[in-house]
Amino acid sequence: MGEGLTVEQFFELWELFRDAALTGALAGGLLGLLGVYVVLRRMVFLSAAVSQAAGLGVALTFYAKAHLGFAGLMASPTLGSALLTLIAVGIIVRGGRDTPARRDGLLGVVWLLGAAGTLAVGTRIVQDLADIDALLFGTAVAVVPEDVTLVAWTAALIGGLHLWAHRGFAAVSFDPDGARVRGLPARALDWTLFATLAVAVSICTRVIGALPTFAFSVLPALAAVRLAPNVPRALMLAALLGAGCGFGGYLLASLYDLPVGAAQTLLGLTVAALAAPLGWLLDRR
Amino acid sequence: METALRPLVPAPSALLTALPALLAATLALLATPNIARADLQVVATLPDLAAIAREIGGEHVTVTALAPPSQDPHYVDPRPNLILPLNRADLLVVNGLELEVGWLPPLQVAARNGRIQTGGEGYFDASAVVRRLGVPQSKVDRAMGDIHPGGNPHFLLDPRAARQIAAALANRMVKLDPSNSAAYRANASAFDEALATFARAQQARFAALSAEQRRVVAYHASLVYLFDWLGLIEAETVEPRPGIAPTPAHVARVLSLMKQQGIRVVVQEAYYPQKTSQTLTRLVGGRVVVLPGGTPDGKRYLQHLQGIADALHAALTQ
Repeated sequence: MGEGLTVEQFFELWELFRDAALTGALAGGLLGLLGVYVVLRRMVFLSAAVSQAAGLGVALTFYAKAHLGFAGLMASPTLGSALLTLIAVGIIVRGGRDTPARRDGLLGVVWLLGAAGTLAVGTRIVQDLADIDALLFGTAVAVVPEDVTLVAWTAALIGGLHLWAHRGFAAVSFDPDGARVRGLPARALDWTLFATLAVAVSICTRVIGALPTFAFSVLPALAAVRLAPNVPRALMLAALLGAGCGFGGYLLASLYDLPVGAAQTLLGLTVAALAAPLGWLLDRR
Repeated sequence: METALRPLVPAPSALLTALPALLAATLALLATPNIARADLQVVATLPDLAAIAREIGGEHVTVTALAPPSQDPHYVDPRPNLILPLNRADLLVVNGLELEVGWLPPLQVAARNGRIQTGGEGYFDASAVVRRLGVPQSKVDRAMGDIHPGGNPHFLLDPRAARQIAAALANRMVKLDPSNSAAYRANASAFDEALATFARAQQARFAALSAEQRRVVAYHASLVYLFDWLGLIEAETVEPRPGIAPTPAHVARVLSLMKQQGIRVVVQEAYYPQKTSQTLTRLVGGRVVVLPGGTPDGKRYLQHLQGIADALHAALTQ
């Protein structure tokens, strides 16, 4: 590998890195926020399985475009990944309501279906395999302007919805019986929560890759849950840490000449690891 | 048991009655001209090699390409349906220089066809007859990326290499199928002449451009033969090392170089990711030239090269 840049050089070349670094921050913030529910509901592999399903959605879209003559919105990889992700979340949430063991099994089924399906469909759309590889392994060193806009809108809409309805989402996540007693539309809130998660994961997977998407939806929330005294603060902290990991990971990749997805994930792991002793110190105060 | 089998065995008299009809049918089949089966079954690993083999073999060969033009030849899935043509092949044409090392050997073994095994009479390694570029001058190790110890294997975009391959391939076809030797030699001669004329004409066309105009960035180090033929100067590659995905720091260096030297064009094959190239050219106001990974179905080799030369020339003179 060649030598990395200095911090000064990074900001001198801001024109080049702006889109990808800001997209990393936006995706990290959004997924960090949603990750609190993922972690506290003990479904950390949800986003891994769902991002694999998103990969299959992209592969199927490319297939439909190449072999079935689909065009326009119907040939949009974003739509394909969102659709498959929603189906995957539906299967996991509905089928896994009864027992955690059944839910774990369904997570495995969705992951395997996504992985095997992508490989199988990939043999029919070899011209697009590079794109599918890039999104699955997070080599998104450069982000095109349309994708920045897409992630920004997604973060604004889903983030706004979660800020507005965070009490309801928290109630159905951690005290579903209490939520029903209080007359909250528990099922609708639950489905909305998972639908927003599905959309966020599918779009982020498509733009920044599956590895950082999985990392952002688990690691900042792990740290935030350890450090924050309550759920609203955990949500805020997780969003901030996620955004920091997204931007900081990109910066680290530039400074140390590393792959972007790997650098963002390693930074997230460091944050999660540091949260444990820091949380211990805070507990002692 | 005997009772159950008896109705399945025709009576001798029935066989005698059917015999003339069977004989007539067999004779009719033998009398039909054999237009469906070519004299030589050729399998080529890459579409460009298949296109060259078709030029030489003409109507006397059936050519199958294992990898489609849209697929990175480094990574072809060795699927079971690729085994059948290899099993029936009289001649296997490979690129060589370890380009197919990741996927061809298991297919060769599974094909159970002694003729096309490495070193066999039906095994033709195109790299053995071309002038090689990019031969490493020092010891090669994996830290250097996807370096081929015998030299850069991407010579199929150079018509001068194609001439050498065509001549040697014609000799091999003559050896395997002497009954059509005159046709193979005639086809090879005509193809060689067409390639030579085309190669010279394009060289002259690109030589008319200034040195600044002829500077380009490639995505992967797979275009050295193409650039050598057309006199283009590869200033840098988007990949920091062959097969290694670009990092932000390397992309920054490439951008800086492009701005410094006024380079506006990034050239890459269709099977490589395009986002980084698009970002670079957007920032310098240039263009990405996306080349097909091989001769598309229904096109001839020279048409394929003509399309590439035209696309490059248009981008460099924009």
